[in-house]
Parts: sequence; structure tokens; C-alpha cells
Amino acid sequence: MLPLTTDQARAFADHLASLHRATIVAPSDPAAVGARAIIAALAHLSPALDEIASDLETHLERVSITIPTPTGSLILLSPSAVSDPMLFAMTAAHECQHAAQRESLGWGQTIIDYVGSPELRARAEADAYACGLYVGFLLTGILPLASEAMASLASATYHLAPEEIELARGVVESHLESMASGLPPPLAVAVEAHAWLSRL
Amino acid sequence: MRLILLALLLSACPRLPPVSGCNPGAQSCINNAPHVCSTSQRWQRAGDLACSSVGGMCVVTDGRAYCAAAHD
Repeated sequence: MLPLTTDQARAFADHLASLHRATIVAPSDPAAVGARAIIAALAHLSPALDEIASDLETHLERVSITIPTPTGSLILLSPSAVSDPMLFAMTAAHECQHAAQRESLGWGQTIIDYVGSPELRARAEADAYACGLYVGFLLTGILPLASEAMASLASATYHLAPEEIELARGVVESHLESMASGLPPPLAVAVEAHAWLSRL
Repeated sequence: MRLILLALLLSACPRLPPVSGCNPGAQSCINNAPHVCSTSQRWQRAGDLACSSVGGMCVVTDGRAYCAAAHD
């Protein structure tokens, strides 16, 4: 497959977002800057979110986030995510998987599950990383390694204990095995990504 | 009032699957979808679709549950 252009990556991201009631905000957009500041401020009001908020502020330059809202999801892309078309597409798939989770669970339950249960957070992130890895696989033909996702999942960003990281590893490895067998991982966003990219 | 508060508290709980007593780290096919056993001994689903939705069927090979191409 030919390398993805930035315009194609943006069109791909917009397509996935449109399927899951998500709005993608570029890092340079003033709305993104303001939204990140508001999120960080709100998160600091809750002790449960304080650590996550601290990391969010620390990693604002390289971490993209999806915020579930009553009307859909707001995806704030980091500057590093849009620096390369393939990374852009992989990140969009990852974040749109979170938007799909919000569609499935509802916005309130999505927040409760993600913040209140490290186990559910680990599973949700593992599915999202699998979507990103699958897009990379479709664009390069190179089967990714679980370690590519596990390094991020084990970082301080997600606050996962070793047993939750192992759960995430199991989920990611299952998805990679599905890819190795020639199928998309059983994720709606992965199927949608495959359908869109196969038209290029 | 207490019932209302209890209802609010319950509705604000994470929705974990039931404890099944599975072995942590084990993988299995349940309803044609791969699942992974968590440390709290709950089956956590890998993905949000059944394997049939991606043209396959769930299989377990060498302890790993995944979607493989379905054969006639």
C-alpha cells in the first residue's frame, strides 16, 4: 500500500469519527487548548482524578484523549499524533474505539467504568491499542508486536497495576493472533478501518 | 431517601462482569468471542464483536483465544 498522505489520514479520521458521533479537534485549534485546560482544572477537583490529571498535564504534548460527553465524544489530538500521517491514522482509530465504547455504554457509565475500575480501563485501552496497531498493520503489512502497545499501557499514564497490565497483554495478544490469522480483530472500529483503507 | 441514595450509588458503580472463578490469565471462547480471565477471576471480553462478524470463529490454540478464519 502507498504511504498515506496527511489529507487521506484526516479523511480517514473524520470518517471513523462520523460513525461514532465523535468530533476531532486538532491540537492547534483554540478549542483544544481551552478544553485541555478545563479538563485538567476539573480533574484536579476530584482526588480520584488528580493523578490522571497530573499526568495529562505532563504528557499533553504526546497524549491524545477522548472525552465522553452527553452528545458524543470529543477527541483531542496531541501535536505528536498529527506529526505523521500513519501515526495520525493509528491514533484516530485508537481514539475512535473509545468513542465506540462511549456509544455502547453511554457517557456516564463510560466515565465510571474507566475511572472507577482499573480492570475495565485496562480492557478498554487494550481494545483501543489493538485498533491502532491494526491500522498500522494494514498500512505497512508488518504484524505488530504486543510490546509496542504494552510499553504505553505499562506507563504511568494509565495507572495500571501489574495484574491489570497482564490482562491488557492477554487482550492485545488475542487481537494480534486474530490479525496473524488474516482477520481483523473483533472490533467494530477495526472492521470500519479495514473497509475504508481497502478502498485506497 | 435511603433507597434513592442506594440506587444512585449502585448506578455509579463500574459494571464488571460476574466473578466466574476462572484462572487469571486463562483465555477462552464464550459466545464465539475471545475472553481473557482477569486477576479478579472475571472473564473480560477481547473486542466488541463476535468472531462471526469478522468472518471467523473463535478458537483456542496454545492457550490463546482469537478469531480464526471459519472453514466449511
